[in-house]
Amino acid sequence: MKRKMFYIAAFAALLTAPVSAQNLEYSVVPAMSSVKHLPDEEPTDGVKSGTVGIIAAKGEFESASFLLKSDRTVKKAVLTPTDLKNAKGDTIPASALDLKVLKVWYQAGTGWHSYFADVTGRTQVPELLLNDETLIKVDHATKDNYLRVINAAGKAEYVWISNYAEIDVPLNLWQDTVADTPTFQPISLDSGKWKQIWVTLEAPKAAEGLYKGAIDVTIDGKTVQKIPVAVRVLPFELPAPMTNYDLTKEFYCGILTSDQLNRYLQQSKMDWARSEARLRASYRNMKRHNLVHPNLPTARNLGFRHSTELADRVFRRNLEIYKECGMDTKTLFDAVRGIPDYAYLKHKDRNLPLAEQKLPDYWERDILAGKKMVEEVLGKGVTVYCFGWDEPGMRTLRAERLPWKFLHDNGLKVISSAHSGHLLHAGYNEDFVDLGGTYEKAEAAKWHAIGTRVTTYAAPHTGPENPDVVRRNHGLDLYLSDYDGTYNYILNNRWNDFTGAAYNFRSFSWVYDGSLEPINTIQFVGYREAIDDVNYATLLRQLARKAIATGKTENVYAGRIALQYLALIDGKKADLNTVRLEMINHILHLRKLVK
Amino acid sequence: MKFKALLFALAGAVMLTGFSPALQAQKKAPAKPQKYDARTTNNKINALLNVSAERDIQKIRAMIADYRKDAKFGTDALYTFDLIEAGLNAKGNPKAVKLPKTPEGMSANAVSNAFFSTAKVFMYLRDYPIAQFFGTVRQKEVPVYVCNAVALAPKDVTGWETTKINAPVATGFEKYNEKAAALLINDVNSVRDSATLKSDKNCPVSFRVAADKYGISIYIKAVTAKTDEIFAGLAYGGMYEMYLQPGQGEFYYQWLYYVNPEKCNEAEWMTPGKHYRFLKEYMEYDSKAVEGGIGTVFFIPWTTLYDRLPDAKSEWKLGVVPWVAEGGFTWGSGQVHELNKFGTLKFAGLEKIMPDIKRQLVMAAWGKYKKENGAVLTFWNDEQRGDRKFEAEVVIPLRDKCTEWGKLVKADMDAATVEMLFKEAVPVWNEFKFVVDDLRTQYLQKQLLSE
Repeated sequence: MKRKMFYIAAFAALLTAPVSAQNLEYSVVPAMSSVKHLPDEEPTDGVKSGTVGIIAAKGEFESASFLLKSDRTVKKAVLTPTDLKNAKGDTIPASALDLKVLKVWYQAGTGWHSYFADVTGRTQVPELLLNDETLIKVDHATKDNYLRVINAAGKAEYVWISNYAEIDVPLNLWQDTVADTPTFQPISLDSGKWKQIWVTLEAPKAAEGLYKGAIDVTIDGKTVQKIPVAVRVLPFELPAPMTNYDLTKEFYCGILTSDQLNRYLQQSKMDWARSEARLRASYRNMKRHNLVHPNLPTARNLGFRHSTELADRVFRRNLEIYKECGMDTKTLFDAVRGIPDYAYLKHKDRNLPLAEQKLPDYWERDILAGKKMVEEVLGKGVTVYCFGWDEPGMRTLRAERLPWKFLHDNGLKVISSAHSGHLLHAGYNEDFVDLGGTYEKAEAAKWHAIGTRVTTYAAPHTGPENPDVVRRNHGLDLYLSDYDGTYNYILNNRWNDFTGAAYNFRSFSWVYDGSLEPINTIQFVGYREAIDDVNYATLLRQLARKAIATGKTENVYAGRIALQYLALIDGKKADLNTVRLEMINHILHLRKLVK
Repeated sequence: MKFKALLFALAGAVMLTGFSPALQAQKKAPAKPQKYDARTTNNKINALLNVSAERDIQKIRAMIADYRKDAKFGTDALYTFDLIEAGLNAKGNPKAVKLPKTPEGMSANAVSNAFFSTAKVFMYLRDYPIAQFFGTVRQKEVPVYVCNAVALAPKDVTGWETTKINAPVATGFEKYNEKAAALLINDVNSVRDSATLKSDKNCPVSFRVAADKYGISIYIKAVTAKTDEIFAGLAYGGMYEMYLQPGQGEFYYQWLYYVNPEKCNEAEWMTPGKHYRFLKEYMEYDSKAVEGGIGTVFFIPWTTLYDRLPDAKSEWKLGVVPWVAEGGFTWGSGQVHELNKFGTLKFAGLEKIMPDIKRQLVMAAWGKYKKENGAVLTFWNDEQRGDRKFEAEVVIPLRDKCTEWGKLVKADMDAATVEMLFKEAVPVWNEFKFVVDDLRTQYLQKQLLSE
């Protein structure tokens, strides 16, 4: 009996023994990578006991990552970043480093790779960036995910979010509160399993040079590991992204989203304060991820049919919040109607010659009202691209001619989801097209030849978690294909990945809806980095042009070598982490030459 | 006459008063209530679900009790109420659910719907063990194809048509998206044949697979009487939508092959790197007229998947979805991308030829390196565009290591050398550019992160 007690005590002591630095290991891995880091797999791309390194321009958000593993189960490990200091003693405060745990959960069997679902297959995927890893509870035995909510009675409970479509019931985020904690929480470590930590720096604009600090790992009150952090803040800010083919043309950073005040008001039963706060949180999060051209609600076409006054009030307020949150107000997508009603588009009169057709009776009124509201809130000179019918058939496309002419007559522009078949029926009256599927330089050239700007969607849709794919297909590869930006579908979708049903789609999500703010993912970081790549390429091109303009042969060569580097990048295969550093290398060199 | 008149009078009285024994009997029987139509029943069930959202079990029980008094509910609805009550009585313990007997004659679809409606009630109640009990769809068995390793697998249509290798013809095609067959409630007490039905035996397409030291060869044969029309472009030749996933959780290849005009599109779901290569850069394919139809070959060399070589325990997913004139079919079941419902590819005898596979891969990798390293080495050596310091510190030592390994490549190299080179040299030779990129990243990071 005594012996038995001894063994029990010894076993308990073993379980609760303090973790020393020897049995806690870490491995620094690239944040942006195609490698899917899972708890049971040794990181193939890691540097054991390395330094967490971040290289960022002033004001840029940049991420790094590492994995932690303990040889025994740890219930509570506290990770605390220290201040970062340079040789002169200047400090970047610890608060500039944002820590998140990269939550691994189960997604459809096609997870990480496709936006199509394999709902009966379930695979582990790292995706969510959380302060509190317990927001999601994962049942590894059944491969199910549960989301923590605070229910209407104020009680925390977990909601099953891995059910199939046939038994799905709606999750109402205005009744149940879904929210991550505002600050980073202690993490647990399962014996022998890796856990990935995500570190994001918002490089202060006033900082410059090399700063060093650490992330302390504390267990049972003892610091058992000091993970070194080194940060280089580059001596420049990044410019706004411009296109590859024309440095004066903006590279637009848009997406279709349901983040709209009208939607929030309708869902919250007209709770203005909550709805506005929620919209603000979404826009601010978009801004932090370089997404500054999301579609706006459409004036006079956002519900509230019983009251034009209310509809207009909602629209104006949405614009005001959009502006307040730093979204781009020079160019708007949507905002003013681009499509008449379905009955009009399908009416037999649409077969008449254009001169014999009539506009819908509300058209002039709604269009001009929308335009006026935009001007009143944002001022004159705003370019507004009005959305045409989504993925129109060719008859619908022709039916839009007269309404679109009215838009053009009144200083507005048209954007339409499209494919090359449009060029048989339209094109000349489409100012912007969002082309579906694979993108090609030759396709962009056709549209550019008629003065149409070009973005892309579904190449692929949002959903696949691999941040390297998002980064490449929204960033350099697209940029080098001479596209004018991104306009994918869709930013936020459902929490459940297994309700694909008829269309067999996964949840198209770069962010997941929280009740107070969106919950971010590594895909969305991939998007941020995609645009940052374009920003760096833009800066490189700007500096190369300046260097060439000096006329000094040495500078001309340096400028052209930099351009040559950019031109020869294989957008499909290049290691984008290497490309980023090479661009920085060229930029630093060119800056010296043109100073 | 008087009697006749009496009869007429009686008949007239019956007509006036409605008296007749048969008529009276009809009147006495209670009128059969008309049952709710499907839409109304659905609305009533939805009302029950709305009440469930309030998470008040007594209210749910009360509503069911009210519904039971309503004779207009049909068998399907009553069965649903039985199930819900069985779920409620189990009090969160799925093992305690006492399932009611399925009414005779109830269709599999109706049973499914009853189970799903019941599961939804418990979804609203957030009683997930019970919701899962009623709402879980049992996964149907998928077909398995055992790919035999052979000395030499055919790699063209004629070879496949004449070969005598052991590569059985795969069976198990279903009509695409047979929904009824996919739904099966996890209920051991109720018989639902729908999930095990072989819904179609008319798929005109079959396939065979074999592996040798060079790679995997997939042969698809479509039986058609219109071969000439297809190759003349006068009849639809069909498209094969193909999937290959080298292990659960791994990336998967998806390619769409059109017989005529011949076209092969690969969906780019991943970005190439050290651990992933585009299939289109490696795979060979061809279609030809054969006796009775059209044969198509896809040959995937091991060089595509050298870092994911299968063994006897491997279970790969193979999707074969022919879209042909007869319609859409799928090997296994499910819709496109439903890897888990596609068939499984297993391998037999591979261990015997594995040394030959590796030897082959070592030679191919050395050849690839020799062919491709020049551009990389030249770039870094360039004093204007390259970086000679990086070249000296990093690239040349790596090049020298590669060359050293290369000296060991011989036709008669021993097994130990093959194994060593396969493990150490092949990943570097094959991915030389990516390896140098990695090293370059580390080099530049080190530079930028030091004083």
